[in-house]
Amino acid sequence: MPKRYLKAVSGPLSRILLALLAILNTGCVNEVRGTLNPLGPVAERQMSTFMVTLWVSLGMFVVVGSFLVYCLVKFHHKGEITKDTPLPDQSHGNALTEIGLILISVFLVGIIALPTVQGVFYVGTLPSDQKVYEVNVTGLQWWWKFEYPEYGVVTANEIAIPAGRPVKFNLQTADVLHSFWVPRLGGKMDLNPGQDNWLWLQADPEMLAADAKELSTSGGSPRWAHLPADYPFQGYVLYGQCAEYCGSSHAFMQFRVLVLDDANFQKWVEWQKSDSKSTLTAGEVAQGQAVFMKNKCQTCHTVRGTNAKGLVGPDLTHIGSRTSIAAGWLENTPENLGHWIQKPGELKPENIMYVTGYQHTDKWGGLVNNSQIVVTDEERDVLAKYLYSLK
Amino acid sequence: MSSEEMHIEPAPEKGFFDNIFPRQVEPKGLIGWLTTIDHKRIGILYGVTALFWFLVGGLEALMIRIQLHTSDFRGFISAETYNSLFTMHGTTMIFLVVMPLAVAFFNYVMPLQIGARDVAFPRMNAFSYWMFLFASILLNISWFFGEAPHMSWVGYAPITEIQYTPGMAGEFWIIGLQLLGVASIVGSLNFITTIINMRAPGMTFMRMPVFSWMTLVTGFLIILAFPAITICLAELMFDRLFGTNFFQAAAGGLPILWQHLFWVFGHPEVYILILPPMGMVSEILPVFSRRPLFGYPLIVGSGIAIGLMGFTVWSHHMFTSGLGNIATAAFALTTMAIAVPTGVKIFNWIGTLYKGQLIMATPMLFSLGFIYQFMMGGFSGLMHANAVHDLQQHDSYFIVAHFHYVLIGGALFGTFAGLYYWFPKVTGRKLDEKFGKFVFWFLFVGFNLTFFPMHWLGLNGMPRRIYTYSPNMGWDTINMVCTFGALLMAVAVVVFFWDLFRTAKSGQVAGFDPWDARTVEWSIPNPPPVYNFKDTPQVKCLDDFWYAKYPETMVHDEDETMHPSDYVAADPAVHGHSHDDHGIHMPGGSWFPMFAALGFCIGGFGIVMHGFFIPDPVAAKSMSTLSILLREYWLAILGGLMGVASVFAWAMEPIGGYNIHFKEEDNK
Repeated sequence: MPKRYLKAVSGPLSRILLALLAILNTGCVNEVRGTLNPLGPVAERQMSTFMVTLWVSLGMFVVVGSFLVYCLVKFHHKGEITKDTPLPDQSHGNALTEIGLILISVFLVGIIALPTVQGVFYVGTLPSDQKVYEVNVTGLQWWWKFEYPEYGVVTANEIAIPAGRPVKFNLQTADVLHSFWVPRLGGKMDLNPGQDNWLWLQADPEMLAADAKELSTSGGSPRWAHLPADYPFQGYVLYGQCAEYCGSSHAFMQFRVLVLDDANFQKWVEWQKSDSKSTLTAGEVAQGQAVFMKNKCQTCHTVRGTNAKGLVGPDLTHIGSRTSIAAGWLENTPENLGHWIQKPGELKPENIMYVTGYQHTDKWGGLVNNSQIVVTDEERDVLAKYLYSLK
Repeated sequence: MSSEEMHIEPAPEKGFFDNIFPRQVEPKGLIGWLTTIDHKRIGILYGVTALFWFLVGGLEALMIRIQLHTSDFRGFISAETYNSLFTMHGTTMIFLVVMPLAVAFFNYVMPLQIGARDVAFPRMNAFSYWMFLFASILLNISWFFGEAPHMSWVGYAPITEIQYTPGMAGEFWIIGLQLLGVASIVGSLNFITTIINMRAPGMTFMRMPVFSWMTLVTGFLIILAFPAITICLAELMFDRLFGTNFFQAAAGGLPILWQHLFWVFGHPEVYILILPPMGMVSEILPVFSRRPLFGYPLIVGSGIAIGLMGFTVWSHHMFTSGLGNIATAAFALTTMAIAVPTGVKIFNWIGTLYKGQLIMATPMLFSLGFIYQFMMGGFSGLMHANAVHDLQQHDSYFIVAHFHYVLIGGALFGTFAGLYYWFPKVTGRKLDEKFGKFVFWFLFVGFNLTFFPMHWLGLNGMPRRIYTYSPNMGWDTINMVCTFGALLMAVAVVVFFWDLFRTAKSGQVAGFDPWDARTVEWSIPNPPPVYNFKDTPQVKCLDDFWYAKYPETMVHDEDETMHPSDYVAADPAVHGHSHDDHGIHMPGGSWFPMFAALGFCIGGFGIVMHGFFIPDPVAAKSMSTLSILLREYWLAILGGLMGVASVFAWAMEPIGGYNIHFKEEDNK
């Protein structure tokens, strides 16, 4: 009943509207995809209830709007009003009309209410008929820490999920509020201190494949569809972002979601569990590690398989394999890595690594942390090369 | 009224403080404004101050739009400045612009609409204004300390806590809002008392103009909603200053409590912002359609219903905070229910236009713009009520689009309609129609161009409150369109202000009843004399002034007992005068409302500045807690004492003022 009900109301109509929105999309920016192009059951359910609301609103808009326009055209008085101008109709209400309009409004609201309540329970209840994967999410100013309790995997700002499987995200924050949002998989949920919030999302492999195909044929850039060609596995990449204002660098708190098939997901897990392996020669690695240690990076960062065991900042064990750096803001290239390592405050104002670790000037122009890190150009290149090699 | 027709006799009472701060008999010059307790002058002060902050808030908005016009835009302003800008833009527009603009109209128009001499507590009224003025200054001087609040206007704990927002920014925001809350609550008590007790004879509640009704409803909303924000601000202040743990999760506090308390205030606040413009539009549409408001009882009833239901929907701002399914569904349903009375209002406004004689003057254009845009904002509101998809919309540009549709498209357009409509009442001059239409169309097109595309941005994943966005996202084109729209609005605002100044100085004289209006405030000259009504109006029905002019248009319902011949009896010669041989007594001005407000605001500033007076830790070891507190808060204590002393002096002050006597022949 619920699904049929939804389909009957929104099915054919929403296709027309989607076509209109598609025209808008192709008209301006053809690679933009958001909540109206869902890639999983949660986002799809959310969009379909939205379509019910949209259609009811649009219906009211057309009826009420046309009547408004009719009144404006028909009863517009042109010319001067003088003493002799006859006055218009002076009635001041009609009980039957008013009661009728109230009843119609109540009925229309009812149309929206039913799928809304059903949807709330669908989105807010974990699927019970299959295995649910779990990811523990911790939000920090301004990056994401992801842990897979089942596999003992720790990573930062980039997660992989198995396609077609429900995934439960357990949301915790280490400081202020954040909000976990992957628009194409589903709505957001806040990370509230002292509260155990969660949400479940699922990526649908068929929707993903269809979407990627559509993007490649429509001439749009498949930037957000496929994992980069040099990535070890095939799969899709989606973007996510913090949606609750969390301070100076709120805008720069993004992350990426890789969607892999079951076999590749298991390989990814094994890979992430392993210690870091550098693609460089032993001498280059030693040089990189020396600069790393000299600048006390290990105070905060972990590189498994080395002496770096800090827990404050993101885990860097496989940083070279990630598609992005600086919490999803930059593509992962040695140049971007170098820029980030040398001048983190420039990319992400007020970030803790910069504020507490680097020598810098405060807003009044005073020198702060003058005994702390200054990364020279040579050190920058060595470090970037070393970190980029940590696959 | 020229002095030839009346003479003024000073009232004899003088009190102790008259020797220290002499009062004028009649208000004149700058001192006349500083000590005024006349509701009309206070209304003007409110309006001018709010319009000034409107320019400041608008400038902040423009800077936000310039920052967002393209992706990864840096170097114009820093992220920190941007965060201060959107925080102060929201705080300014809500607390320093839309609310006080409505209060300006409450002050100026409401007493005239109900046929009163002044508000119930004129000096308290002055106190509200000065409190508002000084608090708004306090909030904004934070810019000069480089400590402008940057925690967003909702200030969700724990980002407002001392460890995440050290420095004065937090206190500027907390104390500023607290003091503004005092101004709002005092003002509301005053308006409620005035409306309940001081309506002209014959003006039953169901004969009261809709704008005065909305003043009453808004008044109740303010006194019921503001205590919630007062409490959470006080708790936050204790957390910050005295180390309590209301919102410190690590110490067992509950940050989510902030969200509940804030929105228990915040959602009624939305209706506090929109109900007054709804009242204004309900006054203007009948005048420019030349027929009565369609379904007056329903418009009033739905206004009350919206006010009451506004207290049952706060958690729809928190669907993403982990309420659980039952609460989410419940708040989704209450939110949908509120769409019904709102829809009723829109139907009735359009019903007023139907079969009317529509005159497209500027106030009418703004009212029509209001209907269209408020309807659009209502639809997106209905979409938020869909709690399933709200998880996608929440904190995205879809929300930004929605609340600007109701707050600019609704509240501000409605207020502009009111400004154009009552401007002749206030100044005796009519704003220029040509410029008015120019302002309307630029504002209308600019507004829709700025905010309609934001729905699309939100649906495609753009979160709000972001300093910049990545070029990968493909949001550049639409953001450029939005910024262009904002520039059109800026042009409209500049022309509007220019026309306002020009007209106030030397505009076309409006004359008596320029709009062929319906309510009693138009039955007296423009601008009104200081005493408002020489003879208290005798109100026979709703839209009394209209039916006095056009008695033949009265449509008799079966339950109505009035008859057009009643108007013969309204002749003052028959009814006698409401003023006796003593003439009309006009109270004297008073310095103390301003002194009291200044004292409390200096006290507030003292709390903000307390950090400068903390004794150094070594010296503090040998001091008692009391002496540390006294050193830290000396300015706060001093300011508070000044406030209390001024209230005391104000209570001891005799009324003073003067009596106005009219010449015999003028009484006819």
